[in-house]
Amino acid sequence: MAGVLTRVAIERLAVVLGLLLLWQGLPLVGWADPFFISSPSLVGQRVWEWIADGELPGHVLVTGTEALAGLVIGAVLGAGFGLLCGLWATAQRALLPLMTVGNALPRLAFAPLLIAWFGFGMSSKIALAASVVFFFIFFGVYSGMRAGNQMLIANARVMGGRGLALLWHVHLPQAFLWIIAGLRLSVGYAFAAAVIGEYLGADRGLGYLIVYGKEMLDMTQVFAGLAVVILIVGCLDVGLRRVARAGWRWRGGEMRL
Amino acid sequence: MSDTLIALRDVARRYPAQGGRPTFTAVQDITLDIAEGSFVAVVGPSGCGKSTLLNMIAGLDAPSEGRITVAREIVAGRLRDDVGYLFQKDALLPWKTVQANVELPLVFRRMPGDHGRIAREWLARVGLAGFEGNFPHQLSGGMRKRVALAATFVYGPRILLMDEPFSALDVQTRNMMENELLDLWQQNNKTVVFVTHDLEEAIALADHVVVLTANPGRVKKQFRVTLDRPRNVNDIRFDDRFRDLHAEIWEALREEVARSYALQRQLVHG
Amino acid sequence: MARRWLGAASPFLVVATLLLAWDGATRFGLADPRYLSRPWVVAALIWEWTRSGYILPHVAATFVEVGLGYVCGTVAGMAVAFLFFFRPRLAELCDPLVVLLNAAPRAILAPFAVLMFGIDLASKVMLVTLVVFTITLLSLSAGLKEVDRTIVDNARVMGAGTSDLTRHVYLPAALVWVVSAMRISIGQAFTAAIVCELLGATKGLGWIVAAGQSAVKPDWIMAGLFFAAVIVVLIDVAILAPLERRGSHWRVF
Repeated sequence: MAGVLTRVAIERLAVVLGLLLLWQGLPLVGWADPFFISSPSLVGQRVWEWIADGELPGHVLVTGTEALAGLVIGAVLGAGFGLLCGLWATAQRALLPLMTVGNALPRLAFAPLLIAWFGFGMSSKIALAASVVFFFIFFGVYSGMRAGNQMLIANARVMGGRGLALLWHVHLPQAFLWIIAGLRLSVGYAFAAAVIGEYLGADRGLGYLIVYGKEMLDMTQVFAGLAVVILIVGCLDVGLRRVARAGWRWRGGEMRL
Repeated sequence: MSDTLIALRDVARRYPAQGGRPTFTAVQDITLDIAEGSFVAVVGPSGCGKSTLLNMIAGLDAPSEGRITVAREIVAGRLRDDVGYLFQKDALLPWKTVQANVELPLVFRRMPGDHGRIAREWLARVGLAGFEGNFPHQLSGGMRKRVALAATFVYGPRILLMDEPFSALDVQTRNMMENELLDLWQQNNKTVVFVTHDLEEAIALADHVVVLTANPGRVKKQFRVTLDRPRNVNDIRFDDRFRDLHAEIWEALREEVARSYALQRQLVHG
Repeated sequence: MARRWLGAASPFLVVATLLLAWDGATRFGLADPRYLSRPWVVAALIWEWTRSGYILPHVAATFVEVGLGYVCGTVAGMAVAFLFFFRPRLAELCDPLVVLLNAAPRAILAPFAVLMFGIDLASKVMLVTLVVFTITLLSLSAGLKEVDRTIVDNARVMGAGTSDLTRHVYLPAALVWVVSAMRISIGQAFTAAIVCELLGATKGLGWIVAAGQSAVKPDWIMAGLFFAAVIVVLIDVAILAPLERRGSHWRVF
């Protein structure tokens, strides 16, 4: 069994390496212009330079802080409003239609608006990331509480659960589950929001690096920046999946995430 | 014959028309007296409002017409604190251990005493000593049912409402659970309303069997089950009186099952 | 009756309150109207653009970009999903590429698209295609795997070959998933097109917003985004949601 698994892994590695080689080789045989497609070696070299001269950590820190702060703010607000709409019918009637419309909006395109409001600093990117994450978590928590399990709640009420005790023992743990599920989806979007915000007005961060490359017509820089972003998001996703798997011993019961 | 504990008078439950669907009447003209300490089984074809009936007695739902009283107090959508409810599907909280699930009603009700000890005792009584630290998903369906049973008995409700609690279990587990339920019932003097679509289960467990009609659910006929107690549900099925009763009640039920089937065909084929 | 009316009106009350708060904030010096503009200024601009028809070519430009990308992305996504389904070996080998494609929201690739394909139509269509392609591929691949084995086996026993199965079983099943993918991707498709326009374009809603940003005209930014929002919501509510509902009435597997 293990042998089969490694074979697939090796074959996949071969496919990836083959494509990288193709990318590297196309300009050599004159089928593509290195100005447009750059090459893996150039990109790798650029990333290495960034690391070597100590430039990269600063940019990663800026973008990471923006994404993380947006993630936290968006998650807290989203969970709060989700619980509010899940528990209180009046709030649900007043807010749900607005949330549905808000969720359908092309929110990442709202970056210029938030930059106009919050300026060129980190706060506008944090606001953008938070606005994206907010809706993921809101709908996660809200629909989780709705579709979630009416029977669990009926049962807890029959057993005597009321008010705060019911909130603490039943509603919040249920909401927490959906927040975790929503967070995994949100990480990529929070980073994308920070990066896109930086495209449209910033002097630091990974998005700034990428868009600077675009202005300089430097495809290598664009690829290098994108590679770093995708690498970070990918690692975070894998990490979160591990955490979610290890942390919830009771997963697998009624809760399908 | 002891006093009436639960009384239903001309109870109906209608759900208002919504989004093109006409008004739906789940149950209608239900008049029923349930004596304290008795075990009543309600049978009827699927969709005849059996669960609605239980929800109204529990106070999770309120009748549109008529009146339900428990211990002479009117129940109208207000939850009573002396009722236990066992649902068809698992209602255990998946994020709590078996022990914490059984302790929860004690916490909710701020009951005095050592919650941990009381919960452990009940878990031992349903044969789950040693499983306190497990999570629900680590247990089999039958074991989860036992936990739910313990979590219901632990706070000592006077009335037990059961909505096809064992229908998802395999036959062997099911018979074991039925026997255990009978033991627990006899030791604790509860009033049980047990909804099922399985007539054999109803007769084997109950003192009274109430047959409901197909939608909308009305009381078609009531039967007294005079089989001796204590009973063993495995053996009692071979009793002659059991077979006679089964034939008699099935006579009443068969018509309704056929009508329910016809109604469903109508729904599907317009 | 009054309560029901109030319930239906409450979302509008919330919006009205927010607008009033916005207006009040700019009036009483809590916010600078140079950066926040004012509700009535934005409303007047929206009306002016609509009346004069100024906005039409820009809406049309964004629409064409998204529309072309949508068609290309859906067709390519379906083709590759079916290819992967019938050639699982290929799917297995390409898995890392699919993961990479799905690693981050595709809109971040906008600078790459603009640099590679220029500031005209091509870069936007490419990016939208990529967005729609990925979502269609993932949604449909998952969907095809869910087609009930029993239905497939039964059709096989009745003598269906691969082409019959595709036509009578897989394609009808696929349509449902494609429509749901279209619904998921509409917002992302517009986002991709507009972000691309923000970074380099000569027309389109994103261009209007970018022009507003560089001239520090927040009313332009807001009016531009307003049109983008209305279009996306309209397409979702008026076209895709009913389509999805219609498709799902037989979706039993």
